[in-house]
Amino acid sequence: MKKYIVVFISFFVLVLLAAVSNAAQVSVISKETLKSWMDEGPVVVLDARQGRDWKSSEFKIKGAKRAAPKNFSTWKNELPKDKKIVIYCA
Amino acid sequence: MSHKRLSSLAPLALGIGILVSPDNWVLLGNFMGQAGWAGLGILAAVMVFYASFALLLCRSYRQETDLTFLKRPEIWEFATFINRAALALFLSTGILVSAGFVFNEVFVYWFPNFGFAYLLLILIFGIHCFLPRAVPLIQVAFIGLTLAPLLLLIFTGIAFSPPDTGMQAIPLLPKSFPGISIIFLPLILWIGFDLSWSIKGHHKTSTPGVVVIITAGFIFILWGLTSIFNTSLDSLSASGVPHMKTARLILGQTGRYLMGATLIFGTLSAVNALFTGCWLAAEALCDRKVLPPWVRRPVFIPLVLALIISMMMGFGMAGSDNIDTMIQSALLAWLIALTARSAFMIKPSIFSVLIHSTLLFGIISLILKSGSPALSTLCIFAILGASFIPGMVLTHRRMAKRRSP
Repeated sequence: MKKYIVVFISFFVLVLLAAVSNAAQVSVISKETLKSWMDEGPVVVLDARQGRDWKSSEFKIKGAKRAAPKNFSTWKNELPKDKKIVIYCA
Repeated sequence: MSHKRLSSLAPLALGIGILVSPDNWVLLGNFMGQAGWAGLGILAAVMVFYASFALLLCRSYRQETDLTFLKRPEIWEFATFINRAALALFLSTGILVSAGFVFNEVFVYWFPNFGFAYLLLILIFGIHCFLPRAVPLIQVAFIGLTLAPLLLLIFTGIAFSPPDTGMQAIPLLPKSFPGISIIFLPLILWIGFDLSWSIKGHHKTSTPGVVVIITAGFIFILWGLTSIFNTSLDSLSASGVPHMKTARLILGQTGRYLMGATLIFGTLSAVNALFTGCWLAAEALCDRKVLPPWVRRPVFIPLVLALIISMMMGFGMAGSDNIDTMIQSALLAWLIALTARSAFMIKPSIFSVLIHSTLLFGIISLILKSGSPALSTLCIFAILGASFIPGMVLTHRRMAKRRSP
């Protein structure tokens, strides 16, 4: 029994570490900051959530455009260069 | 795992467990939004239809002579095991992640959603590991905790529905074809019946299966009624979280808390039911010496399932659009295997032909409606193949037996 539990916990930690290691360092802003930016002028808000992450969420920022990370090379050229761009995923 | 000592409530809780999965509330909300009042009639008709079917199937099972052709029952059991394992993997991955979002958005916004999804998985694994004897009792508790807040919302929503969303606003006939949900939602009742029926000693009595269908059917009808009383049909049909919208309109923030509890405990019920159902199918194969005896250890099947699910969650499977196709494929495979098995068990009659024609129509419609990418299609055919091949082998054997004098 113990070895099964050890296997599960080890694997669980490994998966978590692998998942976390995929996250690159990006600058993060608070929702208050985003609100003040949106009040000041036009901001492009991109919703990067996909599948269930998007479907099962109750909260979606009004006016946000959906942007699939896998299609980054397609939509990156369509973004305006003179506006702030905010991407959210949770 | 002492499933042999299951109480009389356990088969009921096992069958209902899969039916209170969070995905079903989305299907139900969208379905009611598209069907309006007609949706209630359809649900009631389906409930009666499947309850009659359950009675017929159980009666056929009691007639032992009808089963003489089942010379290789292990093939059916192997198909059952494959189907259950596929659904346990894909559906659990999807609904655990959804439950993580619910906890994050409704209860504790700073708590990572994936962290909560993993905690739920560890909880289910821990129960199967450390308290295997208590699994049926815990399943009953999960069902109680799922239904209690939901029934409170239903009571409040029907008794105190706002006057501006009265009956006049709801069309009698569907505004448009209710899409995939009109076919899928009723078929799911059958999955619940099959799970409740699979426990040793309960397959010769129709009571648990019929009670599962009637109970779940009534809950669906009541929540459907509550939804159309309190939420606009357009909002219901277009939303990805129609149940949460309805709950918020009924009781505001309290309604969200209640629905959040229903969704989280519904997730636990469904995952626990799937793990248990999978273990039961593996145990049946061990009894027939198809699988080695160590597979029946309480910890083995939950460990394998939990490892694969944690891997799929960790690598973002739930964020992929393919997960829904995978879930639908697994459900389809299960339904097709069930249809094939019952076709062998029920004596030919006008009613049985009608039942199987309807089921096959639903299944074929689902396949035709799911426009899916290449990988998902491949997955569908792989899972369906695993179910079809045993059916074809048995058909061949049956025909050969009929031909022989």
